[in-house]
Amino acid sequence: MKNFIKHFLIILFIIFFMMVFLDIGYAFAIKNGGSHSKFQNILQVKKTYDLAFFGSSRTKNHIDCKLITQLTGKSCINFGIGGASNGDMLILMKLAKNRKLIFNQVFMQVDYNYNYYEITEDFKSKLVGPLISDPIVKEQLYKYGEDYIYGLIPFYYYMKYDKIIGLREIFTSFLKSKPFSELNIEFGFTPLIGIGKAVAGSFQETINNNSEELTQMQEVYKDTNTRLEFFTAPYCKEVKNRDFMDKVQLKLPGLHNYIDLFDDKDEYFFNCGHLNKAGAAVFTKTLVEDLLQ
Amino acid sequence: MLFNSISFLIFLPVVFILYWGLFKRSLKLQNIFLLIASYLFYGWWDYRFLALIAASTLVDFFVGRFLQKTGNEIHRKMLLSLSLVFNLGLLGFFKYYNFFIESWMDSWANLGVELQVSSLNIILPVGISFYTFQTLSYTIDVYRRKIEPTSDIINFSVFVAFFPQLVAGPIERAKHLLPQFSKKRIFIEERAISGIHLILWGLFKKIVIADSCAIYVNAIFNDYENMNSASLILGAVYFAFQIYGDFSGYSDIAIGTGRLFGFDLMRNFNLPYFSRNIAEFWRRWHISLSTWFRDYLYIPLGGSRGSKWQQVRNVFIIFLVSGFWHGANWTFVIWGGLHALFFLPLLLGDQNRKHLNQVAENKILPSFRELLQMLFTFGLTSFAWIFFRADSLFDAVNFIKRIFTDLRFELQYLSIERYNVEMLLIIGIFVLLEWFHRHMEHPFTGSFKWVKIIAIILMLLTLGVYSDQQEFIYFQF
Repeated sequence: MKNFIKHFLIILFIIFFMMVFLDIGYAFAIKNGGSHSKFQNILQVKKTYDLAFFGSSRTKNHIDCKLITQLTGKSCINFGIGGASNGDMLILMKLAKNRKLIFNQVFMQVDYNYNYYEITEDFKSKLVGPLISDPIVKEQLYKYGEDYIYGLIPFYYYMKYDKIIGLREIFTSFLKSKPFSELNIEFGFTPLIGIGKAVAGSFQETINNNSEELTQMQEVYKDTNTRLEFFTAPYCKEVKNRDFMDKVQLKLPGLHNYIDLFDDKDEYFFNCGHLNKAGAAVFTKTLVEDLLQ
Repeated sequence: MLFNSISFLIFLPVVFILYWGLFKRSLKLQNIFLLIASYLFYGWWDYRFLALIAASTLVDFFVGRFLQKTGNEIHRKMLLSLSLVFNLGLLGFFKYYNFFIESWMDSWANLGVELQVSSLNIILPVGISFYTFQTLSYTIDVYRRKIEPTSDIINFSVFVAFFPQLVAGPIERAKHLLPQFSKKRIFIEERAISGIHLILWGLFKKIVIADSCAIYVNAIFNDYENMNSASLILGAVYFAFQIYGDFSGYSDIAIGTGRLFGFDLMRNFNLPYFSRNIAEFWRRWHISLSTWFRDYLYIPLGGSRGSKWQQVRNVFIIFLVSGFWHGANWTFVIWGGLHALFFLPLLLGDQNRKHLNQVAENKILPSFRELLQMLFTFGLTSFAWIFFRADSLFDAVNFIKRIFTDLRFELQYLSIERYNVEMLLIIGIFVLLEWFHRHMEHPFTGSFKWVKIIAIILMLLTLGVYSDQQEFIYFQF
């Protein structure tokens, strides 16, 4: 039995040693590799932007930063991530602040996501390497009772999300090759092509008492020169329980609510919750006219 | 409980420590403990189906006992029939009921008659095909007076439910496994260490080879209408390695786990893709099932005795039944039928007992002829795998049709954001590893043992698929 236990322990040690070694190696590659995501952008970019947009796909697909810069001369970056929650965006804002990324004005998209705060799986997949040990990330994950404990195991997150941050991705990132996705790193805007309003969807009937994440976002920029504003992107009129936004408006009196902006413009929708490229351009111009001039 | 899951990672050491620590002194306690652990292992998936295993166990245990007590041939035949009806009835109901109902309705619909017979929402109990065949083999062997029935219900219960091989084999014979539960088990270090190595090798096959291939296979088969010929051929090749890595990986883990507890389970795969013809392939692929069908179906039908016509009939019966055993779908039947067709020229030319040895014995590389033979055999099996993997006959036929009509053999970027050829590199490494260790059950031997262990662990960590874990394919059979 003695030899068996010895043999078994050596194998366990090799596994553990390799996990530590790979964790350090992957983190180094992420830190020093080419930028493949908005996350890496946050890690690597160190400069001041006049405007920053945070939110989910309704930010990623709707806010054309290049157009905003053309119209206003203001520098702009879009941190919208498809499917992101308020919790995700709060972490992103905190990380940006911690890394001295300065924004003069921040716009946060709020709609049905008022009720939606848990850290998403896709977002968690990016919390690796240097990020997982960041006190801000630790604090947030711990707060939501996520499987943060596994984050303490070296290399665990890289294995759990191998599809997104596997060897292949790390390798291409390290070689600073161009990303395969159509992500426009410079401005962060990804328009949708096509017209349609299939799957109307529904807002929830009830609203949470408050959104701690939105309150915390206000805290993040409280003692800075950054102005934080909330906005709602258009939805098609067929969406159910649209009066949910009236409830959000009561919670956030300063909210810029554009939910009904295109009620008679079906041609601007890619689907009920998302504008197409043409709709995004008109919406961006509307935002510029209303809020940035 | 999956072998490649966190729960098994905890379950196995706990069972191992208690088995060799707390219960070492009593064989009876060890067997009772193994039985509880096996039921827990199975119940982790769905405890309700434990009743089926228990029922199957009780029926065959008592049939065995009564067979011993009676010499009356009519009574013996009735007892055997009882076991066959019960076990095959279970299998038929859970696995084939809907298939027969739907096929029956379809055939009437083709004649213009619409029948209203409702199918049932039946969950297929994991591993039912495996444990029913295992218990059946016991009863048939007792009936044939090849083995003595056991009088120990605990031993028999754990023989049926032994967790390493319960859900996907190897399908053990009572003659081989059952006596092992009656013998005092001694912990042999070399055997246990080889068990650990087999588990490691099995995990590599499953997590690195099979699950990586699965990503490509799913992308190609689910979107075959937009794939070029090169991608479609690669899809078939990848599936060949997916199912091999998946099933032989499971078998390796099962055999390795068995060794940790002092048991010897039969080898289920013996490098099937290095076969030089289809007959050799079937001597190396899913050996426990092939030999089961040989002993309990092929030989009783007459086997290779009788006229050529009878031999051909027997070959078709065994392959079609084998196909049907895999699943209630015509695609599996066609898969079996194709193998019968591939086998036919060998049977008619008396070539089916050729190549009983290992390929390129005592040589490093195969001869050109051997290489061509292996490639040809692999091509045939990969072609047949298309039917095995496709969702329907319609999809399989169109998949094949597209291979021969698209005729574009170029790089294709798949929906999984990878090029169609990328998996070939890992498969190449795997084939080389298997080739140069083809006389051993795993590569972790010789002077570079630790280098190979480190390399495999490194590949497991960096190339393994953890985010998109696939269940073992054979769980569904």
